[in-house]
Amino acid sequence: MSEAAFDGIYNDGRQAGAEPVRVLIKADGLLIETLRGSDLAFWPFDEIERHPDDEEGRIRLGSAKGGDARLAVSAAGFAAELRAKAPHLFRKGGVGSTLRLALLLGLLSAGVIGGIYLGIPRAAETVAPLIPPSVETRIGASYIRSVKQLWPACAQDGRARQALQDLTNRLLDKTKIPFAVSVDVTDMKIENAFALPGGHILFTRMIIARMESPDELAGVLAHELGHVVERHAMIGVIQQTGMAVLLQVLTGGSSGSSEWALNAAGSLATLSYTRRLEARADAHGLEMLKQAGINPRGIADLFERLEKERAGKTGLGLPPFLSSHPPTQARIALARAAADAPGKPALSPEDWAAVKALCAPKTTEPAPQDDTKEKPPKPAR
Amino acid sequence: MSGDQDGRRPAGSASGLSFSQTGRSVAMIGLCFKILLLSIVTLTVYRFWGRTQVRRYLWGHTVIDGEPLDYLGKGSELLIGFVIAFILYLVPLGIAINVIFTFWPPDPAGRLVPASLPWVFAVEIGFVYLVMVGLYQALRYRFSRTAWRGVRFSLTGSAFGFGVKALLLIFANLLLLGLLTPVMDLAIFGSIARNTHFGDKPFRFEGKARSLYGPFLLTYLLILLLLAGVGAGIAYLTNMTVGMGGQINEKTAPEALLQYLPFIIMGYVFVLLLVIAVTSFYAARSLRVKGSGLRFEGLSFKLDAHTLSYLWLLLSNLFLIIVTVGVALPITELRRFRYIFSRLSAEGTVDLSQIGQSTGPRPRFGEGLAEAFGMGNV
Repeated sequence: MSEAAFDGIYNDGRQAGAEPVRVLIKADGLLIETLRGSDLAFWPFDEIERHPDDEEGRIRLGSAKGGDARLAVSAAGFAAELRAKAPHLFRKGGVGSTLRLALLLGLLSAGVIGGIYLGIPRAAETVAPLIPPSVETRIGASYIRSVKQLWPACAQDGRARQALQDLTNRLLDKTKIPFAVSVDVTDMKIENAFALPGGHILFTRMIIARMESPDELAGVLAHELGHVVERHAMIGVIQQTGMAVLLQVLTGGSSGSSEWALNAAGSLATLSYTRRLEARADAHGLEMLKQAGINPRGIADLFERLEKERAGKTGLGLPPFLSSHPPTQARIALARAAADAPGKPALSPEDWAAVKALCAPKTTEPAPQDDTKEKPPKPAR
Repeated sequence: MSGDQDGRRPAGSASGLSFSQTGRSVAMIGLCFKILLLSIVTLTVYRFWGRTQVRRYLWGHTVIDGEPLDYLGKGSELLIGFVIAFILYLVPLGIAINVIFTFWPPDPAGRLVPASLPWVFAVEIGFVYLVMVGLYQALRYRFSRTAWRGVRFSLTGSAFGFGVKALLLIFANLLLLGLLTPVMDLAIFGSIARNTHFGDKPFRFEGKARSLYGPFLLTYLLILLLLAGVGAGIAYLTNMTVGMGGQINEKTAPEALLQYLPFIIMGYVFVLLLVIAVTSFYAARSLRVKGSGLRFEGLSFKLDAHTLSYLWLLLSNLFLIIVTVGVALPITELRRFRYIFSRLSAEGTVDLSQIGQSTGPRPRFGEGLAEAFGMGNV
């Protein structure tokens, strides 16, 4: 069997010198020998790796088991001869393998994000009770400060404040709570109520405006107090921080395109609490109402009104207070079931009027339809 | 200057070395877009493989004495290194910052409260330290994945020791209002160069900060003048604004400022360009001193960098990055490589056959810390 021999240059990978060699293309590999004919190395085809050709078009090869040894061959005819025996060295690895890698990486990162999205809420629920309430109080203080900067609390009406405080105390009468709870009404263009870390509860003017009786106010307040007692706001904070950190791991610190991924995932994370947490806050709330002798019919009425309005609207005009909450019909049913006793009114008519007057608009506005995008504020960091 | 390739010397004994970078910017355009597209699809995770491809191209077109460099790193090594560094260093640092701001939240105006300052300062020192450590580790990885004529480069020495040294130098330089810059510059470069090996032989570095102080002091003076000029300009403009808008009060001031916004931006860009121009005088000289202080065996190197050519490189690269929103980053790296290697030469002799394979450190994973701090560009 006749073998072609080609001239090449060989670096043995042990020292930086180079040696002119003869390269023989055998049936199963390349035999590299000195010009005098003694063997230097034998590289089986399936162990050969191709390195980028150099500027002069020399084919540069290495061996998977040959360390950093290099062989460079420029002789005409070598390429054709080698291709016949080892076509895999001449295949354009390009498109197919790159796409496979991209697909794999895409799936991997999607999987990681999915895992994070499902795992972090659970982890946050486990960690939150371990954070001392004093720390949560500090966090809450910085939250409430930045909120009040953006949306000033409404005019301090002594009577209304006292009424809200009394109602809060009445609801918390039998409940132990590690925070000094504060209740404020702010002029935010959204129908919602929030429980911030550290026991700060915020009503928006617009949700107060939708309430038709003090029992409705008490119902929403009790629900938010449920969040406070269970420290759900702390869970939310941990959830958001954890989500941001882990996404940062995935996308790296500073690359521009990673920003959008981070933001997209971040807004997913602000979908506030899971339904399970909302249901727990509901249960707590109903319990508090019962203890305080307030009829839960109020909150059922409010839910029903908001729900009816939603049904009447085309599209997804879900009032924010309902959007993140358990299926409304079930909640209404639950509240109705609890509404057996007549109960005492939550506030006196005078107090109720004072609360309603907080932040009251100068002229009566129509219920806004598209201000529902506003999000609860985040702490300024 | 780089001569033409004067033939290969199979026997191994070389007198002088020639350097060139033969890569072409146009040839990299496709690669840039491929990396962009795949990075988007993979939520940026592809960047590690993209970077590896860019390096393979850059190294493969860096030709020393007729033989190209080989880049032997893998994308997966960069990815794993990054994840490890993130968990080891960045997560603790992030937690520390969060804890500090939990206990001492900034006041409503966003200012830090005094009680938090020592802690914030400590975290910032830790940050600078880790940046320097990361820089060293990244170089170590790159060198260990670079081979020429079948022999690898390596970087020995402790990255943490380097971090301490660099931190002390930076701190001393701050105390001396930047007057220590040439000393710091060459000390940092020197400790990297002296720990760099090709195969089993080390590089040496004999550059002296003394030779840099002339150009440095001139640059320093020019920058001081520039700052004074900017200060005077701002004062003048403010006076003019008051003159035209009458009494400055809280309502008219922002509007008056808004009116001048285009000029303010133009002025800012102008000053920035001036600073780059002035500092490139020192930077080119610093490159030259670093190059000519470098020794390897019987070789001494020379780097023919000059102010105008270096300024052009800086400005044109800046322009490319801004215009392409960073997509052309690999091309700017190619242009930097080309600048260095077309101006690098070496005289003297070296017997390459006496240089054995590297026994230096070969980290298993790459550059995590540098990547985590957004420095892993190339």
